[in-house]
This record gives sequence, structure tokens and C-alpha cells, in this order.
Amino acid sequence: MATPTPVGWPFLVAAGRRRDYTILLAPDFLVADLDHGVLERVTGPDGEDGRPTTVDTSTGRGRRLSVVYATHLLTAADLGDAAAGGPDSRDEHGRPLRLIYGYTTRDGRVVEPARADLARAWAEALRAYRSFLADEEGASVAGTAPFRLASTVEVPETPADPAPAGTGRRVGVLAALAAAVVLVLVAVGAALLARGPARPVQPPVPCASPTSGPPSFGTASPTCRPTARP
Amino acid sequence: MAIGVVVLLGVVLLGIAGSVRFRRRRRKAAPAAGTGEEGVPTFNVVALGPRGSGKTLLLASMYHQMQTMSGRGWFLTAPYEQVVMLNQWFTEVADPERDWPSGTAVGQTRDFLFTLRTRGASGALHTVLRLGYLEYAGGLLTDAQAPGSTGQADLLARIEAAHALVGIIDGYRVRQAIDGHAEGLTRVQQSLTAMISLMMLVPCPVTFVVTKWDLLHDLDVDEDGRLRRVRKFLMSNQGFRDLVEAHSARRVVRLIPVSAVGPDFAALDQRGRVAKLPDGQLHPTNVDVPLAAVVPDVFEHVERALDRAALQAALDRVGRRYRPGPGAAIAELGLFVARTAGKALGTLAPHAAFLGDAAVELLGGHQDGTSERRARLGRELTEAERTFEEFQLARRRVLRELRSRVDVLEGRLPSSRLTGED
Repeated sequence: MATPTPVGWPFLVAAGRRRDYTILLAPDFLVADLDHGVLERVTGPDGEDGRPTTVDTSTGRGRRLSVVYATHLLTAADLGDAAAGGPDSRDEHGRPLRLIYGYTTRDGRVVEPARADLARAWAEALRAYRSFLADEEGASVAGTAPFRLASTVEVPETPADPAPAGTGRRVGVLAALAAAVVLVLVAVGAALLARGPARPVQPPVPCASPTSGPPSFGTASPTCRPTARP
Repeated sequence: MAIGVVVLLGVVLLGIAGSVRFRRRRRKAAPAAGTGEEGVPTFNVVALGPRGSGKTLLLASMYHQMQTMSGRGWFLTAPYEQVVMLNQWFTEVADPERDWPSGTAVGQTRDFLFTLRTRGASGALHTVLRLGYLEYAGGLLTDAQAPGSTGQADLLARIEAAHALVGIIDGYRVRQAIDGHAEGLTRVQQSLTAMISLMMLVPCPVTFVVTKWDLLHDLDVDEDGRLRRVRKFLMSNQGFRDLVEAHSARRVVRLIPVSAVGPDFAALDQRGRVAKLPDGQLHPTNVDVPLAAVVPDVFEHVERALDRAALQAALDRVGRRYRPGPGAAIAELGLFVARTAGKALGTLAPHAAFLGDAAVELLGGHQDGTSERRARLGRELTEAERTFEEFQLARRRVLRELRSRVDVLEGRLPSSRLTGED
């Protein structure tokens, strides 16, 4: 059976002229589950425009993601008008605006990001950012649809998440404890065997009936069991 | 044979238990091995300010000014990767040809750790204390957060654990408000509201800093007059007034004007935004004061938690006591302070020697810092005692200087002291 082509989802984290950094685009499945907050935690502006950075992380709900992102310094040309007096590419404090954009996949670890994937993510990010600037206060996160990745993605052999850190040590301690339990059982068994086979238990012998002879109070046979008077 | 098996079993179980305890102890010990000098307290400071208020520039400018002694008896160091970052920011700020640094993103939240160092009489370097300063995106204070994001919750936890809070008031917005722009008034209100909700119930000292003070240079010819006008504007906000009143009942609350760039470096352009001047000269003003105020303010806070008579008695014992070791009486005083004001000190409580020295210098009134030294005249000190004494004297000198820096500012700008009666 052929390995399915990995897919990725574009995302965008950016600040506006008035509004601070916010997630503007995120994978639709994360948005639906309110699980996209990780994207602003693991990304940050890079001094070098366009240089991709890869981060492997987990969401708050435990989803493992591989995130590829780059930074772009916004220019007037990005906003469609480079002429003097055109749209402003700075914030209200005169600071340059940087967009953190990229894509994320849950299909494995991105070992070699492809420029084409970043370019695809950038195109979607820029469209979203222009809309955001037009109405910053009203903007909210939009879910993105997946696209086939050209990036090299290392798909794990088993779909299960790897064991959390420290499991190796815990397994070692548990194994030692299990061995100790086995030893206890062996010791108990050995102790029982050492005692030898158990003597068979003889059934109690009823004491002599009152009609069979003169009564002898306080001198019942040691093995007899008194029975109820008829 | 059964007994032998049981004994063997016991040995195995003991071995397992010992191995687990050894690993736990080693895990606990590992962090201590990486934290550096023992007995040096870390004062954690969080500056509360919205986006664009100047937190990052203040940090970069402050470090740039305090990384050398420059007439002070102390200087700051930081881990190298943090120094690189701070210098990059400062270079971006200082270059008139370059843009201001971009705003801080959520993913750039980081702890800066500054070590305050001084030289003793022998020339040896001593570490006096550490200052932790949290750098974060201002939007975490004012904006709703994305689902699954933990940044805001982390920030709130840090605020709760801080030894001191610094409220950053954007001088640019104050300028806008005083000039009659509704936007400025709205933004000042927004930032004060965020501060009030976070500062009202905290037990630690709070200080307010007005950034971009250079933009307010023409409010009045006299600097204290300018500060008085800004103070009046801020105190006209009922929530801010209530906050000041609540805190000033327990300690001094200050309003410190700072400029990360100084006069003649930037001005408002035709769009009303802060732009660098082509031939601007960088002369930061008062950027060292907010951090200098932290330690004296924490101790003023501690003093209010102590019984004055008991503290004076403990200080007198330090003055009179002649103990075999130079630090014994001081450590005793420190233990007394930690015991009685433990809650006010938080994580500083274990540092008895530091607390003792700080109590002598900052709470001891006219106690002569060298009196203990004089008491030892005629007694031979071991090498270790001499080293320790040099360290103590150096530390106390630094604490005096920090206090003095704040006193000088108050002397020059009496309006920097906020009270509820303003």
C-alpha cells in the first residue's frame, strides 16, 4: 500500500497597526477544536526575512505537529500601493510590521521544508492579512484547508505517540519491582515446600454415647467431639 | 533456606529503594549545581505595560547604561545570548537610519537575568544580587487570547510571584491625551485599567514609570513642573487614584519619568507618530532608577511588616555584638527579618546574610556601616573572614548606592512621590 502524501495547513500570526500579535490563520481542525493557541507560542519573528524554521511541538490537547514558519517584513508593495501616501506598512508607533507565516502538518516531522510550500502559505497569509488590516478589531481566526506538501516529511513507523520522557527509567524501576514480587512468590512457595507435605486431617470421632457406659465427666477422649444430646 | 530467601529479598528491595532515592536526590541536586553562587537572592520584577508602551526599549537602554560602572559602584552582567539580544535591540534603536525594533511577539516571551556585581577593596569581583526581568508581548495584558494559548496564564502567574511590579505608562499616549486626542485618552485609560486590576491586590511594591518622557519636554520649563502636570492628569483617573491610595498607605509609591533615548533623538512626525531625528544623539535619562528602586522598595515593604521595636532591638544587637565570625550577627538579623516578614519576602526569605546586610543599610537609620568593622580592630581575621568582610562591605555600599539613586531622584523631582492626597 502506497504511503499517502503528507498534507499541511497554512497559518499566520501577525500584529496589526493597532492590535498586537494574533493568530489570523490556523488549520481548520485545530480551530474547530479550539486548539490552535500553540502556533503563537512556538513561533517568533526572525531577523532574516524568509528563512524557514522548523519546530516540532504538541498542542494543548496533545496533537503532535511539525511547524515550518518564516518571517516577512511588510512593505508598502505588499499592501498594493508603493506610492507615497499609500497604505502604511508600519504600526501606530512607527514600528515595522512583521508577519509570521508558514504551514503545519500532523503527518510526521518536516526534515526539509520546500520553498513551494512556504510560497503557497505566504500567498494565503497575505490575502488574510490585507483583510485583517481593513478591520482589525473585527478580525478573528480563520480555518485553513490542507494542501499536499512538497516538503520532505519523515513519517513515523507507528502512528502512536512516542513514550514521554522518563519512561525508560520508570520501566526499569517497574521491572525491578516486578522481579521483587516474583521473588516473594518464589520465597513463599519455597517456604511452603520446605515444610513438607501436609498431614491428612482426620475426621473428628464422636464421643461415646451416654448409653454405652458410665458417664465420665471431664475426661472426654482428646479426639472426640461431643455431640448434642438426643 | 526460607530465611535465606527472605533475607535476599529484603536486600533486593532495599537496593531498589536506595536506587530510587539516589536518583531523586540527584535530580533535585542537578538544578542547584547550575544556578551559580549560593546565598545571592534574585529579585523578580515584572513591568506591566501594553503594546508599544516601551518595555523592550527601556530594557535595552537600561542594560546598555548599566553594563559598565559609569560612575557607579556596580554594574550589570547577563548571560551572553541575552547580551547579544539586548545589544542588537539597542543598536537598532540607536541608529537613526534604521527603524525602531518591531513589537515583541508572544513566542518571544523570555526571562532576562541580570547579575549586579561590584568590586571590593582588593579588586575582587563580588555578586550582590540578581534581578529577573520578564520580557513579553504587551497584548497578553490587554487582548483576548487564542484558545489553547498559555501565555496569559503564565504571565499572570509571574505577576503573582513578583517581588516588585513596575507599571509602564506610555508617555506618547499621555502626550496625545494632554493634547486633546481621544485616542490617547482611550489608550491611557485602557492601560490604567489593566494595571489596576493586576496591582490592586498584590502585596509587593509597585512603581510607575512614564516612558518616552522626551515627548513631554514642552509641557513645562521645569521638569518637576512637567511631572506634576502628568501626575495630576493620571490622578484624575479615579481607578488610578484608588490604586495609589491603597498602596501608599503601606509604602512610598513613585512615578518615575524615563526616556530610553533622551531628548533630541526623536519627535512626533506629521502623522503624529514617534520618528527618529536624522542627526539624533542618544542620551537616555533615568533608565536605571526603576531597577535601582526595587531593592529599597522591597525592604521598605518588609519594614512595614516588622515590629519596629523588635527590629531596632535586633539592629542594636548587631551593633553591640562581638561574635567570633564576621557574618554571625548579620545572619542572625537576617533570620529575624525572614522570620517576621517571611510572607513579604517570598523567595528571598532563605537569604539570611543578604537580608541582614540590607536591613542594616536600608532599615538601620543612621547606623554606620563600618561600625562592625571597627569593633574588630585589634583582632586577627583569617583569610576567609577578610574575604567575607570585604564582600559584606561591598554589598552594603551597593545597597546604599541604590537607595541613594532613588533619593537623588526624589530630591530633584519631589513630584515623583505619589500619595493618596494628590
